[in-house]
Amino acid sequence: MRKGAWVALLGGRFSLLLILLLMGLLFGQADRHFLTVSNAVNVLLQASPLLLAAIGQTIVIISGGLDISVASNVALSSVISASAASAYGPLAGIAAGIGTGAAVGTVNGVLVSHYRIQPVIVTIAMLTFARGLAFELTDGFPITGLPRSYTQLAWGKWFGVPMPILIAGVILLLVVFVMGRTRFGTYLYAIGSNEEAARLVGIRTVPLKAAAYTAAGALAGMAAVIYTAQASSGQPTLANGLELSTIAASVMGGASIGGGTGTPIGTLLGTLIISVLGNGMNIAGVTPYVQQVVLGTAIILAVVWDRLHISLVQAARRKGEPASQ
Amino acid sequence: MKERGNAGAWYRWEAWGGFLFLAVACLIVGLLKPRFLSPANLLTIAQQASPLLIAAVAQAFVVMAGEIDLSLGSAAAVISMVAVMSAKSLGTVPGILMGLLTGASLGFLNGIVVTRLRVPAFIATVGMLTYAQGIALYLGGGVPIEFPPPSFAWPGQGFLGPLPAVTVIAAMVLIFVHLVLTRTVFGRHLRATGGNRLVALLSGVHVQRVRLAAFVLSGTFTGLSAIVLASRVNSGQPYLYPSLPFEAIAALAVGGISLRGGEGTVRQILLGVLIFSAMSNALNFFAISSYVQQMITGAMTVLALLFSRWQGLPRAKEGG
Repeated sequence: MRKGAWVALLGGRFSLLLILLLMGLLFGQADRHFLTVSNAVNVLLQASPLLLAAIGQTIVIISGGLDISVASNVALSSVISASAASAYGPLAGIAAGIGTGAAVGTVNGVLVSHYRIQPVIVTIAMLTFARGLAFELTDGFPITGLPRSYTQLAWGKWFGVPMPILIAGVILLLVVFVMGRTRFGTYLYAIGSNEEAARLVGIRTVPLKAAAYTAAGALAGMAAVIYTAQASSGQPTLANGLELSTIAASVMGGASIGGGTGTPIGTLLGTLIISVLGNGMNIAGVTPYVQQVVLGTAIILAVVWDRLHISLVQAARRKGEPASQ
Repeated sequence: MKERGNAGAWYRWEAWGGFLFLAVACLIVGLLKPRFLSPANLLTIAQQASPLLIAAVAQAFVVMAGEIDLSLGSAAAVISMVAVMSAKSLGTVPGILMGLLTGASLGFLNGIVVTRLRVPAFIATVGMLTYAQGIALYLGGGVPIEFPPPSFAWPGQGFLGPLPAVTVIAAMVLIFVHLVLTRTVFGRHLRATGGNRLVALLSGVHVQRVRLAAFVLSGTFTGLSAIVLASRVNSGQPYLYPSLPFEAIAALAVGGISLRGGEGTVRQILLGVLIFSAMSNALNFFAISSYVQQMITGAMTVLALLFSRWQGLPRAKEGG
């Protein structure tokens, strides 16, 4: 095979699958509890809300932005969802959680697209604001007393498949369809690649970019509902550090910071790698402190690899070798 | 150059209007709550503002270079742990030096990842945030490190005459940074790099070196800020001040510094930090919870940026 093709192959999803497989074998060697069906289900259960939030992050990154406020948004949505659920029932709780997430996302989106403030700054400000609001609403205590039908979202099964996995799967397929087969998705890729060019060909960039943040917010709200159901309470401290995991999952999955690339399926693989890594380290008895160090290093390596891969592909192209993605 | 124009017109509204606004706001609060303007409380504000001021200076170096540092909070936590650990075994002065060195190395690491490995600063520093937090927890096994030698308490709690030592340190930092920004080639290159990296490069600025230096300086000042904070609480804390980078960014925005890089003066940093600290202090007088203060931090960042856009600053377009 030619060099360009190798580069494309190793930079693509194939290498992610390879990493997953290697990690599975490695952890499986280290501990026999790792490669069991119940542990696999366990990993998927933990990965489901992360996947929802990470897909949202991917959509924003594709549009050329970034959302650092995911974790705080999840915490705020969790608190509001739990209050609504204990007061008005499970359906109101779910709607309130997703609605809060979408509202927070919309504020981010309008500030980024209409008022043209840098995404990093807007979402940092939102990070502080939403976390503060989550604490103010609850005085720092978890909100308990959720109806049983609400916590069924975490523990219920449908044809033997746990609900969180089912929800995450359905949403994943939906986003794959929207990003790959609809005008909205195509336009977002266009905006992320070159906003000015997209505007000049007649794409209404301002509302579309804002919509990307709204979608990401709604997905964060769904993640919040699942986390809340899993914890049986609304937690103002929920999801600390989630922004990093979602960015890592997106970037590992092929979303380039700067916009225009990335796929929900790639993000699924990134999410699985992060979840398997966390689960494997837990089983191997690695302390949470060291896990944080590993995750921090992993994301940097993922971005470094992404940059390296881009420049290798570009170098191969310059030489006239075909290096299809 | 812009700064020459400003230096000649020290009385200009753009330069001092913000301080006038601050003074009027403080007077209004003082009328409602007389104790707010008491000398003791003003000293308290100065004392509380000082660590944030040093951290804002740290953030300002990277922001002026067109980057951002989100790792200040956990970097400060690691530094406080290292400083207290070394102060316990080696003595106060080596402890402080170790803290500064740790800060400079973390900044160097950030800088290398950003400039050599070409990772965008917000990603590199979010990675560092998690990484450093892990190390801070690991060093103390998740608990604070306590009981440094008694002299370690001086930078954060001591007094020089009537003034808190920490305020004197912060003032010296301001003077130093003012001189660096206005009187050195580096200061000029720093803003040129942040304003438009390509133009700076084509004009012969060692852009990579300047960016790296900005991160190292930022790390060192983060170190100083962490040391006075650790000295104030007499311990190294794994969760020393998590909101530090966000408050520093808010202070810069409120001071009127464009977060797109390429500009910034010591006066703006001071103004932003004073407004921020005076406001926190005033909110305490009205018994407003720290959670609401956190919300205000976020809201203020965005409002300050919207306000500076609304003023229609033509320079906001420059180099963006």
